[in-house]
Amino acid sequence: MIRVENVTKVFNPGRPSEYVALRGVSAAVPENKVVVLTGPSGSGKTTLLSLLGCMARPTSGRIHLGEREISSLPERFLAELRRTAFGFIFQSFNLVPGLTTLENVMVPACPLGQPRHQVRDRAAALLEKFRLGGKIGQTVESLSGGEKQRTAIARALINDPPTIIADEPTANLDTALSLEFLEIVGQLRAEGKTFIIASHDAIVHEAQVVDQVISLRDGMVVPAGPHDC
Amino acid sequence: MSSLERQRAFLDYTLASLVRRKAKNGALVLAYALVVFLIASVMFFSRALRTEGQAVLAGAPELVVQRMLAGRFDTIPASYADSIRRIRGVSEVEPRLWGYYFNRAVGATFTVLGLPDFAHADDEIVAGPAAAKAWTNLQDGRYLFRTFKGDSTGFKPVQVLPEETRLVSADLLIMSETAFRQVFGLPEGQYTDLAVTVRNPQEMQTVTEKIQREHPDTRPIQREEILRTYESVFEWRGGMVIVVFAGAALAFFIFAWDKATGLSAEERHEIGILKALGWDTADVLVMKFWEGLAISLTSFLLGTIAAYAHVFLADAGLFAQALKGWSVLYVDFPLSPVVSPTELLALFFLSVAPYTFITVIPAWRAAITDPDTVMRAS
Repeated sequence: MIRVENVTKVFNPGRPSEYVALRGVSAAVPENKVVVLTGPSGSGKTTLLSLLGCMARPTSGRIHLGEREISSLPERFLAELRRTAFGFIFQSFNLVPGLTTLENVMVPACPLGQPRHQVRDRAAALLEKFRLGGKIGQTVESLSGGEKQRTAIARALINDPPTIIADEPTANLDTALSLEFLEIVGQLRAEGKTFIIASHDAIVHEAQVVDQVISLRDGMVVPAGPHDC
Repeated sequence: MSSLERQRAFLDYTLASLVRRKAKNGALVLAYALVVFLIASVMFFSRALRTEGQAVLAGAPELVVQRMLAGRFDTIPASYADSIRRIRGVSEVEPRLWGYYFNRAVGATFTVLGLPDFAHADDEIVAGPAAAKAWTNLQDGRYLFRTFKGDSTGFKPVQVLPEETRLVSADLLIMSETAFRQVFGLPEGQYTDLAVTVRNPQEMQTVTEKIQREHPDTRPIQREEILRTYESVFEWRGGMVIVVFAGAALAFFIFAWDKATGLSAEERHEIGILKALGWDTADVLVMKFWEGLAISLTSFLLGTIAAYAHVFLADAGLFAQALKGWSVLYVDFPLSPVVSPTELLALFFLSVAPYTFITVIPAWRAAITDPDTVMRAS
């Protein structure tokens, strides 16, 4: 269970460009569920996703991972959580150009210091699972959008984290590929993974696989409605 | 979890990163290696020459006495040798006959030595290995000399000195004392200088002062003085070349600094991705450290190996003349490979350490920012 309690996030505090992205948000993400954060642009979806994924600290409020309060942890502990507790799928995939598919999948495992052949085998198995076995040695630039998406999913799973965080994962995909992504989400949930997805794509938050929708507007949680999408 | 495996993983990532920007990194390594090559070549060459000079001087007389006339060298009478021999502390005085002969046909200057106990006939000559190759104006197989009177005289070569002695004998021609006087017009009883041996080296200064008191028109030169002169000449010449190359080095470091301090948007974004994927600031710095080390160490090794080959295998063709100084006959002998570990270490630290650190600093600036910037850049 991940819980946020009365979380506020202010960017550039005290400056003319000060911007309040989240205002006293409280929410909970249960284990082994698919939770979607939805809302219009500027509603605070990505900011909340960053806070949940330990990529930033709240200005005030608390974030709990299980029983542990994590919002005030030093950066190196947050980094450790990012590589062990979370896997990340980004809107534009954020694969490292020039590296092969296999090398990209192995990137999050570098700081773990596991034997190279183990990491390599695990990465190859994940790519095989997502039908990319034949693309292992290709650089990511040569992949199609769907293949890049599946590579990003494999990378998110390399350290076997319990929670996957995805930011607008279908934004660059057509309908067929978006449905394929949701099918993978369903498979992984069946394997015990928790998903937190920020999306304003109707295909995503209306999908059967989604257990909970948290709707945001102007940095606050609001009851979900059809205009939020 | 193993620290070694961790470092290996970072190194693997670094090498893969370098390969994907191979054109840019290759150009950087080549430019860097060129600067190291130039500096290392000067360093190797100066050191080797200094060592050769010391080796040559090790066999030179401890004290040489020359006669001065109106501030210029003049020949020294044999009577000076007799009086110096009587000075307490002097064990031996050897009058020497030597000089330079410019061979116009060859376009080179040779060192000529006249020996009183020459083992061959007066019309025979012994040549150093380089001189034997260079002396091409022969008549009936004899070395032709133009004497001080303007007439020609020939010497039959009877021996070429062995290659092993070429350091001291490369441009040397040896003839009898009689022949020497005949070629150069030096009167009997006059010598070029005197080689003096002192019993106790501690008394060298006292003996020198006694000689000067007894013969105020002489200039005694101690071996140590010659050594110091050689040192300063090589330091000066090496320094001049280093100053010239310093311009190139400076230009390179400005380029390297610009490259290293100004991370591109692409590189900053990559650091953001790595941090978002669970790398912490120290991991990014380790990766950048390996990157800087890989580039600078490769450049250092390439530059140093190329400089070694250039100086010791290719006779330092690029700037040997600038460092050797004047000499019409360029002594043809390969330098003994002498490398000073201290100088090499200094070059290593001056080339590898600065680049490695200036690579890490901007990465540190980028790595301490929150990784959520990568989410917003998406």
